[in-house]
Amino acid sequence: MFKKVLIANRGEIACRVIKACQEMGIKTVAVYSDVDAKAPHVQLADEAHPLGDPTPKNSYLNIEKIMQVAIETGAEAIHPGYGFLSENPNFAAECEKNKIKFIGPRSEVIKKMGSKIESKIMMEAAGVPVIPGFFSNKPATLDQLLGKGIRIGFPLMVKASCGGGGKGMRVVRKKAELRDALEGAQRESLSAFGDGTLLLEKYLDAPRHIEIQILADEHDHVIHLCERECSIQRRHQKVIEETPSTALTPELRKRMGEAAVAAAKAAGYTNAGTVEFMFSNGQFFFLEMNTRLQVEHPITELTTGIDIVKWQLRIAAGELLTIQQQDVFQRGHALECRIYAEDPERNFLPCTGTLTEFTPPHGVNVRHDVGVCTGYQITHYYDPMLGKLIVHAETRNDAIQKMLWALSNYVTMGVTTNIDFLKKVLEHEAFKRGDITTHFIEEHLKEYAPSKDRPPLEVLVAAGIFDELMARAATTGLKTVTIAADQNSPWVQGGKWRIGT
Amino acid sequence: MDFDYEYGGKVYHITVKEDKNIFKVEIDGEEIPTEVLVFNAGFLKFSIGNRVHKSVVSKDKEVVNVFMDGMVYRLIEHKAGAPQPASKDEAEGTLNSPISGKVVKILVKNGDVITKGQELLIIEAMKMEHKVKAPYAGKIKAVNFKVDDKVDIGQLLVDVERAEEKPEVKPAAKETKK
Repeated sequence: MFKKVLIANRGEIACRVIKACQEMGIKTVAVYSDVDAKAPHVQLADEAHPLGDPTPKNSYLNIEKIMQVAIETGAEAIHPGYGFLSENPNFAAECEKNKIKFIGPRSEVIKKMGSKIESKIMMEAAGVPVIPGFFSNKPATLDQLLGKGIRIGFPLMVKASCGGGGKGMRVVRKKAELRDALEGAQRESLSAFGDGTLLLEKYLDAPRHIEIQILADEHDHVIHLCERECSIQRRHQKVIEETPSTALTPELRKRMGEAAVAAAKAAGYTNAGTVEFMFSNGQFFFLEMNTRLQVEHPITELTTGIDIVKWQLRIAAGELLTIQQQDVFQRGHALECRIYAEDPERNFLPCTGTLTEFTPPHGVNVRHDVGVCTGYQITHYYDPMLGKLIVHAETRNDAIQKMLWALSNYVTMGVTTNIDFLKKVLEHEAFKRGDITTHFIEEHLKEYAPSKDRPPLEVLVAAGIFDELMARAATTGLKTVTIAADQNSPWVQGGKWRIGT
Repeated sequence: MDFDYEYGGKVYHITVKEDKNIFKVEIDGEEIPTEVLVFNAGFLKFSIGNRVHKSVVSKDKEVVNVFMDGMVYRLIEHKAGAPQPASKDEAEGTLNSPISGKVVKILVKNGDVITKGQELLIIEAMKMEHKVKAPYAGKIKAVNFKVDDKVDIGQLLVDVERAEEKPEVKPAAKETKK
């Protein structure tokens, strides 16, 4: 096993990886940008090294700086987390060149799976179902694409091979719109990615996004850890994930799992990875492979009891994956909510500011993967996710109830969050029925806006009494005020309170 | 003491008096006798009649955050007797870039008359597109960026000559007790 690992990330995922290393007796090296000097991941690690300028490209995306820290500190391996450099084949290659183990697949595998067309060709050859359509690594003319499109039928999707985040993507509903859509997508893709290669896909009606977690060691042993349902998305960003999916039968789960294992084997995949599928009308189709640890990995950990991050470390160290497929079971139901600092009133724009209070609730089978704390400054530089709230219960209904309880007791102040919005999703009848697609939020919660009505009287009472007591303390100069207190309350601490604590 | 709190564009007037540990809180003419049970490090527990309420309160300058029953209420304290609009940045949004990124689309040009909430431009950052909307009505004096330009957080995106308008804050209408 490694003696020292560098974590090339920040926030909750850096904390998650550092804790796994510590449990295994591995020393950890954190890196941080100027604004993260006091961040929890820096406090937690055995040593921490500055990257300077907080702009991502000069800090957590800066291969040169990170490699230098790794070499100077003698780290034997680098865990990239998710986002930032985790799916950058050049970073993995740079690690390989410097004889530092990249905790993930080999650089050429990352590269192959990063291309929409190449990965689809590879998956089709391996017998994994792909969305019917047209994809070729030879350039096609506009007229050829037009002909292929008409043969696929409508509605269909035009996608840029290098695209992402909705760029170069068009839904075409009828033949007359196809030429315009092709030209537009090509233009967009050329200007954004310097590559105008397009592919065509049949448009799937009411699709779900279901993915399969896989683990593959470096000795040709590959298993899957069942599915995660990630259909609840806003602007292509996952918001709530759960497992098991209400859409899968044991038979479908088995087939999808086998397809994911076949996909990983075809790609020569090693370490933890996720095969994403689109699911529609009982059929599933390969979408893409995420060659890294996923944000939502905890729900799989809770239902299978397998620590994915620890296995990433063991696999990277060359150990055998000792779990056999028949030993993998799902137990109960797990849900994850991503808590974002964002303002529903301002089109869910990220919010910045100081977290004046941050106290997530404790409870049975409630897990918090967080990278912030009270007093923490949220800046505009990075993803606005404060943390992940994960619950595990015996049934889906119990899990929803537990999640609603946890969200209702999740105290975050100073920065607006999406907590109220998450509750609205979970309370929705269609969600409770498990009747969800990737269009769920658009269909059911498009009009969502936080209430502007008069707040409950008790809220105004609380504010008034708070200010009254504070003002009184300020004028009398007293630092403590005695008030009569409920003697049966566990909160009583001598019946006195202190200003400014 | 008297306090004015703004919430959802309305101002609520509150008077707090104390009589032997019983606080009399008057809200818009309605008197609510309240007994404070615990006040400790922002945790405030009190009873009204025989109902107990728990809250966490924190204050940052004029902003009073009250957490109760799973909701965070962000109240803005106005100095009693002198209602004033909330700080513009907080309540209305600004014309400064909310995020570092790249301008991908500009939807207005010099001289355009814009309405509050109108989309002005789109900035892309970390795979996400952010629409910048007009925080108030006015006329565009200058657009400071063009498509594909990089912007940093806080940079002024457009200059807008603000149209005359009455302050939005109105005293709350009296509500009758349910």
